[in-house]
Amino acid sequence: MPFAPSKKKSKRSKIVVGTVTLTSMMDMFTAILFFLLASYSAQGDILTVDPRFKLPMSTATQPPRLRLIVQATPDDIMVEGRRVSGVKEALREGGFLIKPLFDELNEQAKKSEFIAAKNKAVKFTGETVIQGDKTIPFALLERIMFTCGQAGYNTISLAVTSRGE
Amino acid sequence: MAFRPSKKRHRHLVAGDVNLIPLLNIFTIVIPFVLLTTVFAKTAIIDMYLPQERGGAQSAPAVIKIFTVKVSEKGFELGGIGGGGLIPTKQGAFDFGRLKEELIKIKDAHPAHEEVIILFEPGISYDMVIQVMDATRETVEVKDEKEVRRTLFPLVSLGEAK
Repeated sequence: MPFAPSKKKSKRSKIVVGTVTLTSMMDMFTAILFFLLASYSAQGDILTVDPRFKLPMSTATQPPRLRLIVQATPDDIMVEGRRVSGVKEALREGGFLIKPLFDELNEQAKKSEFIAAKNKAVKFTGETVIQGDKTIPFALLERIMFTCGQAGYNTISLAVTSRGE
Repeated sequence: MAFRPSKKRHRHLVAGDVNLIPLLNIFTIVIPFVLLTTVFAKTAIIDMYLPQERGGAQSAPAVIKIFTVKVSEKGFELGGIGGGGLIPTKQGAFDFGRLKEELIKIKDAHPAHEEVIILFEPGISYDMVIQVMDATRETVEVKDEKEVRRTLFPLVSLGEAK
């Protein structure tokens, strides 16, 4: 005959000491940490992109360099963050030259040349990068490019969001 | 008769756990820091060359071979060494798959050729401009189950289609 279950045992309160299992959380954290470290870039971002406009996606991976920035949102044209002209006015004008942009670029070129004359380490290279919203028409891009070329900025790059690795 | 329950059963084995709390502390500090400083949307630039003559479709000297891709509402038109073929749009969308095939064929026929002049109609959006530039610059081929990037025509000039 089996023993009768002890009465004491059934009355004994079952206190379970609550320890949280941290191992799985540790696993998760380690995975996240490695992922973040892998996608971490120590060099930072030279181009700061205005949240008002979206750059197009591209497979290009060439990193940006420090250059004169011309921005084109659906409404405004800006040089180094300062508005110089509206898009509508720019497109309404006949011809390819956007006058206010041209004046501003000339001003910037003069500044750079002035600095280059005083400081041998600095050279005026005529490099500019165009940050355009992805909705702007080619006609506008073309006009901006033409104006840049006229103002002495012959090396033009287009800024994009890299989808590549 | 059943066996008497063993007395040993009530002895608890204390497993030697590693104390993970300090590690957890470090992680909770490091992860938000890295999260804040990581740049997810990387910006890149595409170098571009202005056509020597605006309009792009200039009458170049006969010795120089030119390759043009004209982008219009009808589709892509390959000119110059491209032979003048038209890749029509499919239900209003540009047929990038066929463009890629044609570009590879042209690159195979002229391996040393690197320049392309892309001509756009004024109404084409900037996003489209970048997509066509991407397609003509390089392509991804699958070789031995590995993705290999192949450079096609990296020297891109832009012009307006007339």
